Amino acid sequence: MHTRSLRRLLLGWLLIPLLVLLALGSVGTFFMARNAANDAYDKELLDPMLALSQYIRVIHGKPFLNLPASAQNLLLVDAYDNIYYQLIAADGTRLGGNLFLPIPARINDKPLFYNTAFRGRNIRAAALKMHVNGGGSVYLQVAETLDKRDHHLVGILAEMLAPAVIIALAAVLLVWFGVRRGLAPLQSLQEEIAARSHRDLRPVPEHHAPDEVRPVVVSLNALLARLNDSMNGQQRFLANAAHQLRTPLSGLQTQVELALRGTMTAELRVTLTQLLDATVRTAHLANQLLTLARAEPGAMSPDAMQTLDLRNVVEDAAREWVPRAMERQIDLGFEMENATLVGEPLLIRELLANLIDNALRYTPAGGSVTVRCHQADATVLEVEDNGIGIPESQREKVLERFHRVEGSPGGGCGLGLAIVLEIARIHGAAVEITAPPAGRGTLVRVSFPQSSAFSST
Amino acid sequence: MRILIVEDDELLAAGLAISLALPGYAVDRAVSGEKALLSLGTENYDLVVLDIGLPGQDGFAVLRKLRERGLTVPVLILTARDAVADRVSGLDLGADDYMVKPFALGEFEARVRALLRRGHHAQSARLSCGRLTMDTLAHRAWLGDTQLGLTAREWGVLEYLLMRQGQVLSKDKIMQAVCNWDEEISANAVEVYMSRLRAKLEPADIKIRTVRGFGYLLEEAKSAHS
Repeated sequence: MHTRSLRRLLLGWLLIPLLVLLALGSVGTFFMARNAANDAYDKELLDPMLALSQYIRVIHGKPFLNLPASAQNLLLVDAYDNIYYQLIAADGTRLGGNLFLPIPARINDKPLFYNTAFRGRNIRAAALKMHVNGGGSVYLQVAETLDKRDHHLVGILAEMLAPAVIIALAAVLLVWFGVRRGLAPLQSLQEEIAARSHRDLRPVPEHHAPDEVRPVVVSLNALLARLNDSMNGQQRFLANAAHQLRTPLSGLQTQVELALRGTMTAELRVTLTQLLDATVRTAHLANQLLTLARAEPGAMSPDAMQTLDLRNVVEDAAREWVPRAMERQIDLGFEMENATLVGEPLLIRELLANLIDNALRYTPAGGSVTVRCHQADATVLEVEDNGIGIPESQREKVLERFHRVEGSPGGGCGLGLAIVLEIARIHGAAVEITAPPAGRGTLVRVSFPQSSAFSST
Repeated sequence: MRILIVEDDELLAAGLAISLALPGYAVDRAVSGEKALLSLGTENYDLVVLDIGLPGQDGFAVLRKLRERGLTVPVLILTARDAVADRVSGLDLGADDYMVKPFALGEFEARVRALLRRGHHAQSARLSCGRLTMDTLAHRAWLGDTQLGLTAREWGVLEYLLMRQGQVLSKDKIMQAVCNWDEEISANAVEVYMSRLRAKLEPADIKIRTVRGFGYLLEEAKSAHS
């Protein structure tokens, strides 16, 4: 795994040690509680021992146990455990009791507690060496089974387990939330950058970034600025180049048109006509390149976006294109409803101009072209023609730069629809190429998002 | 008619000068803003064709100065930059029309004719197209030698169209131009006036074209391209 998640790293480094610490703490607490309980039960075990010692008598210098049955019942009966005892004289004579255990080696006059087994059960035993007045020493041992203690231990465990689990869960949750909270600025930074269009090279706001991330943001902004500069440089170069082309081309076109008005041989007329065509095509290409350059990332500042009345844009286009359509004997008509959009005026005009230009190019004389705009869920601009149409297999491809449908007439440079697509992209609009309902021709529909849904900032 | 062409590109300026000299206009040329302003100070022109991208003072500076001098001569702007076209059309810089390079010579000539006609009409009361003549002062119209009877509304619409020959005009604009404050006419009414005018102008070599869903365009029938 080379991709390292900061969250996973933080969670790992925080959660695992925290949980280990919690577990160790719990185990420690458990043993401490068990020892405390054990000590208390051990002390209780001294009670029958003390009581038994009261019944040791000495006769003729020899100790013996004088334990009446009633006392035995009283002393050695316990609610949970069996209690055993044995009394052994210093010389090893067994003086009584129901317990059969060897005497521990380390025995002295302080009670010694130890675990051992008796009749196949684990028991806790206490041993004591006692001096009997006038009778030397005796060894007294008392033992009990572990039921009471085990029962208590289960109780302690149960009482400790629930809080420990709750604390562990709480710790997991808190750490998880904490890490999430801590990484939230990173997340929002990521979202901000991810939400950007590839044309938006404005710097990322630095004051939002936490101190630790700010150097990254600063470096990113420096990179964005350099990228922006280089893009702008390219834009300026391309725009200037296109502009520089226009004036000489204009002169060339004017001169050739003038020359064609004179009398000349048919041969020369053909040559000059071809020259004029080439000039017009070259000029068109220069225009298209310029438009494309303007629609490139970095060419347009987001401030250039304005709320536009599409009717006005279409009306301007009508003035420009109706005479040209009439020249080609094409009926250019309009179906306009109120529609607004947020856009860059020059680019929207170019988009429409390219749609109309394209429709006029590929519609024969006598055909018709209709420009439509309306607004519902989206603001829609449509140009429909009943010309030669675009085969379904080509409809994606015609949006690519310099792609021309094989064998198509019209002298286009193959940039028109690519420009339409570029400009649509800048405005978050979708371009759809279909055949008109009547079947013949081409219908290009550009759907702009609602003005309110599109942020112009 | 005297026209000043201010353009520093030799090939283009020469071409435009020839094309305007052919129909008989007197054409002067200036290759810089300074020279253009000198010429404008000494001669009276009926039209200035002004390039924006001039060396030294650019076209905008020339335009501003000539308007400051109180010259009302129509100005046709030529530009190689679309952004400039946007400024010219969007802002009132005092230009009367603009063209983005490169352009077809025929279109240039048509714009020049329209601007000269407009400038001419500003001083004269006579409008004409084909065999139709309108005297806006006397409020009379003729088809050749025959006087043409027009209602007030028909007169208003025809005058508006005639002053803007060759231009595509929206129905809205036509409506706005011919209706008074206190009355409104419907888009349908405009269509009715158009059909009446077409009937009356039938012998006049005038064509009122319908731009489907948009408006109308009036032009001389013989000037219609084939």
